[in-house]
Amino acid sequence: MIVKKQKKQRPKNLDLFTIRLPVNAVVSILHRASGVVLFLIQPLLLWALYLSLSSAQGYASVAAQCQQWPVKLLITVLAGAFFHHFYAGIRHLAMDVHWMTTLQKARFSSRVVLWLVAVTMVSVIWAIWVKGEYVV
Amino acid sequence: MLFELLTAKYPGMRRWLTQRLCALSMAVVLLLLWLRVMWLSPQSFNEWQALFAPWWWRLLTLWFFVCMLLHAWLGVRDVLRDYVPHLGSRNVLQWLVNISVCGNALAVMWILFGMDF
Repeated sequence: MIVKKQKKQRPKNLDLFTIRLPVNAVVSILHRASGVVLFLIQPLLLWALYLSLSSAQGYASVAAQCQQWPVKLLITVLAGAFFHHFYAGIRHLAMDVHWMTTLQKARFSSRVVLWLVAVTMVSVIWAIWVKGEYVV
Repeated sequence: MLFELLTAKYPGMRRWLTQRLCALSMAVVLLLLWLRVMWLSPQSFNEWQALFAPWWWRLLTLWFFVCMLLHAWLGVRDVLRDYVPHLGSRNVLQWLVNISVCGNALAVMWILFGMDF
């Protein structure tokens, strides 16, 4: 009984404007979210792969779609999801073999992941939106 | 101890290791695929088809997709277990995910080996 009472008296803070996720938590939850996004988009990408390989007309229509701005935007977002999942995944693999597992090192590697994503996305955005080609 | 963790006594450990090995395998294979795409940089339908013509390329691509589907299936399974506490809804969602993964696997097989290049 006493334990229950003490539990109830514990202070709670659910004010979302004062709760800040630490950087490692941000990288971790984005890894999960990007994984779900990539899973959900998979049928569409397979459809595009099928269409582009099936015939010259199919290839031309996929190529034309890739020049439309909504599709460009979608590809940009998917590239962001992919590269975050990729870099953060390598970080998680490193931690699985007990590399960089102290709090300080984990925070550092989280920042490295976010910077790598940012740098990669700059080159991706440049290729898609400025150069207008998908070959980086 | 390490090998005991991989026996049927601890099925979670095997799933965990499978997901990690798939991730590692995908990272390596993806690098190889990416290098060849950059090397040939196809600009037309014929060049794009020629990229997929060698059997070893299609086998490598198939291996990549097998790893990806396994990895994704295990990942989404964890996500559903974490965020959908209601068992009935979770089972329905898991069922939809299973169908989707099987459908994707069939689509990959058809794309890589069902069409004539």
